Amino acid sequence: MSRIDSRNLAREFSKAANCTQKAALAWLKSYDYDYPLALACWQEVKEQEVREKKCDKLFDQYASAEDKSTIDLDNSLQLFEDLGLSLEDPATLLVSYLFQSENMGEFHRDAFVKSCLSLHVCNMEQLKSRVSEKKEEWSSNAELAKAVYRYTYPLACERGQRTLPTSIAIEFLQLLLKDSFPLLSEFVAFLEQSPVANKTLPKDTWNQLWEFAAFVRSCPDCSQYDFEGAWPVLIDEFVTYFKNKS
Amino acid sequence: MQGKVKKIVVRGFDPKKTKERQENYYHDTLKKLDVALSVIMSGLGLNSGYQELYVGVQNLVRAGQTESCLELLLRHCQKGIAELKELALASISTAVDESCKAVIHCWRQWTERIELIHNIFYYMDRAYLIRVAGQTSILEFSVSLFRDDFMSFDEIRVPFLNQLTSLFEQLRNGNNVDKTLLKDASKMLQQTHLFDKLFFPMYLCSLETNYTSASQAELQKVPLDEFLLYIERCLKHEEDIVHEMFADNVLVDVNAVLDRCLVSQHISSMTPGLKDFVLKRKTDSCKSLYTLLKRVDETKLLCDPWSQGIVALGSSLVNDPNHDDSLISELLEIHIFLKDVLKHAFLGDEALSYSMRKSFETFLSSLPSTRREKPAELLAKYIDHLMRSTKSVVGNNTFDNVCAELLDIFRYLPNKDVFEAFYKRDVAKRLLLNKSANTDNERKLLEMLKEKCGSTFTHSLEGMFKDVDFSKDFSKSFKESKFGRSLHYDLFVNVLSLAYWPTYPDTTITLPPELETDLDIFKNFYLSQQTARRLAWRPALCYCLLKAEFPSGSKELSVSLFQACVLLLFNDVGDEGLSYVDIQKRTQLNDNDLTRTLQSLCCAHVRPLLMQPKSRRITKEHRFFYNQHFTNPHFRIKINQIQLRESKEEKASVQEEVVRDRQFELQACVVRLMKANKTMTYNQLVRQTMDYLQIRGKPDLSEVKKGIEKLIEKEYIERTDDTNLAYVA
Repeated sequence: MSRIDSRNLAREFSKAANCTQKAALAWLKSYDYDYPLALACWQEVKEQEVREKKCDKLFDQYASAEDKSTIDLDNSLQLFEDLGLSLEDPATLLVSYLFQSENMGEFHRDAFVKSCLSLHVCNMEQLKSRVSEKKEEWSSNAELAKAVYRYTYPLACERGQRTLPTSIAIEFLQLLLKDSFPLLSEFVAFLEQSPVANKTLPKDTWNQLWEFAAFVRSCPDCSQYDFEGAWPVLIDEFVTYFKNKS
Repeated sequence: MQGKVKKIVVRGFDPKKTKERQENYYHDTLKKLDVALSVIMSGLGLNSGYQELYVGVQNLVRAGQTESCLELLLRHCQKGIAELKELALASISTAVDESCKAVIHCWRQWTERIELIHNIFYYMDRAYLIRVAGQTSILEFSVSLFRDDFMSFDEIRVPFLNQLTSLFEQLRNGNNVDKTLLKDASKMLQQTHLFDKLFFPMYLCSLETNYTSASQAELQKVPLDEFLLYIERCLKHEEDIVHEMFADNVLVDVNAVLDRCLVSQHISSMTPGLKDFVLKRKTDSCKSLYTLLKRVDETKLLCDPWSQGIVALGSSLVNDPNHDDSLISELLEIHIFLKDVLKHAFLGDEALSYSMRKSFETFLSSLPSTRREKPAELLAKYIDHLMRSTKSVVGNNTFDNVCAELLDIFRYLPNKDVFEAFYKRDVAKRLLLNKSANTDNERKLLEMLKEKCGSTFTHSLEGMFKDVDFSKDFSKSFKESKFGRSLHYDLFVNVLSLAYWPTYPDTTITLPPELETDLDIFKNFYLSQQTARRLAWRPALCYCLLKAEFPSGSKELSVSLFQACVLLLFNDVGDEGLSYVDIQKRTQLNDNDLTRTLQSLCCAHVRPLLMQPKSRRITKEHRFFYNQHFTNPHFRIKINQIQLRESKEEKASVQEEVVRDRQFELQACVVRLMKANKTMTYNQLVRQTMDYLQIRGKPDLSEVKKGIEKLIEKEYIERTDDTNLAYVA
């Protein structure tokens, strides 16, 4: 393509895309002067930027006064309220998962914006309806439920800690497994009297509890439980305890 | 010669006449034969003339008169057998053995007659019948005649066989039976080839019916061990009958039937009895049972009752705390007994020997958790006693044999690491206190252990021996050096490597100044010889010899360092004695050690010190005095240090050590496996870990699982999904 042609094309592009001719030329060049493709991409990028800005704005509404890059605990209460969620609602864990929060009630700007974009939302209404959609999905999509469950363990840990005290773990278990784990109350009772009550619950045991809950759903009396299987010892002990009791 | 034929003329020779004479001779001879045969067949003996008849037959045959001779013979034989048949039929009856007797009588007659006839017709038999095809010898054809024209009659054969069979039954039951009759009958049947076809199947059948029910009845009646003897008797009895009555080649068939109805039939009732035999130590019955089952090739069925017996025998011992003192010697005794059974009764059967090993492992590893470590601990203790005793012979066994037996027991232990920990402690004590009766024995056992368990197992034990050897040499060179010459005391130092020996407490104590300088001299010497070492003293392990001048005479006291330090304090105090607090201040011993030491000096059998007020316990308020009235008949006196609750504490600490080592070992093993395999399923990992650790001590499943969980937590490994694990580099 001759120089003149390319310049004409750039002029046309700059009009359509509302940018300087120089920028238009560079953009076109990177798309090998394929005008329609370049324009489509340009518009998409612009839209993305607009959405990102909107998300940023959304984040700004809740950003902490001291540190603009985070939403702190107080402000996240507001966020949950605006989303129509009470603090006791387990869906707060879902939201934390969706925004990849690293600590309870704390959100980072980058992760927040990225998540908003991937959820295709850029304002509060959209976000709210998206969250309630996800909430629906949560109860039906086992994959998502498992991901949220697993995500909760590091989320629930104290800052800088890698293991979760059993007492706190019990609270979260009650939030997350109350509908899916038929022996939850027995298990909690077992935990409270066992030697780990004052210690921590290992992450592996936490993760495997999800599988164990699924197992118990298929076999409520644990008669098919395989002690040789890959279950953590704590679950072995629980089954022994449970069988002795009943 | 041709052409020149000479004619010889015999005078008075008339061919016509001769021919006539010949004809007459043949005719006469045939007639004579006819008469003779009639006589023989009628059962009367010929008085004489055999020679003439024999020659007559010879002449007839030579003259080509064989046909008429044979015809004559056949006629008479057929007639004879027909007569015998009539005779037999007349005396056949259902009475016990009448028919049998009649038949055998006929047979005897027949063979007798044929014998005579055979003699007479011998030439014909040899020269003609045997050589010409299509003819059979006299004996042969007489037998077939007897078979086809006598035994083929149902009226004769059926009662005969029935009675013969029942006669054998009577023989079997031990009744008095005419054995010659039976022998002859058996011979007749064999000669007539009727044995295999007619009689033997009936015999086997009666054998089977008889023993099937008889052995069942016997089984109900007598205990199992007697039943086994009964079966052995039956087998022997039947074998004897076969040898006496029949040809040996039928033994195989008879045995097959006997095996079926005497052994196979009762297998399920006999095999469980082995457990009882083991418990009651009946080697002979074990042997009988094994030999019987070997006949039917079912010895593998003994594995289960055998191991049940062993487990029962062993469990009752190891589970009973009252047996602890003698547990090992009783286990040894059982083991020797079982090995004896294995060798003599079971002829070293592989499968049974394997299940014996397994059974020992089973009952030693299926103990409740409170007693799980007991056998290992007691074994170590037993060996300790053995090593300390100066007797080179235990019972009637040499040391080597006892050790081999002990190591067999050791091999069955599920927790070899516990044994190792206790054993190590004992070895340490023996080495340091010179309690070993025989160093060669120590090394011998160590070699044996090494052979069984590999060098990692004995590594630290070997190190201990090395240390002691080194110390001996080193002390010698120390005493010869200029350092050694400036010593106050005769000092001997064991230099121990921390890694090999059990951990000993580091106690503080104020030593007499001369000793302190001696130790410093040694330390300087040692550090000048060895680089990059650190020396620390372990006063609790030291002992020394004190010279004491009592009013009653001078004595040598063999005491521990603690005791010596306390005693030496009394050198410079008068009648006022020393208070507990004073002693503690001057020795720096802690309360525990000090009370223990004082107790040994003034409450035990030998009392070089006195205490005020007198009591059994030592308190801080006590005062102590030198005992002026000390007397003792011996010159050298050993004052034992009191072992305060030591065994219990020691046991607990050994236990702790073992548990800790096990955890390290387990985690190291898991990491090694995961590192080698990168990914494994959970079950694979658990199984392989168990396999690896088995040599030292089999861990619980839950221990392995806990170890794996710990490593997941430490992020050495991770779950890739429910059952798969991956190594995290």
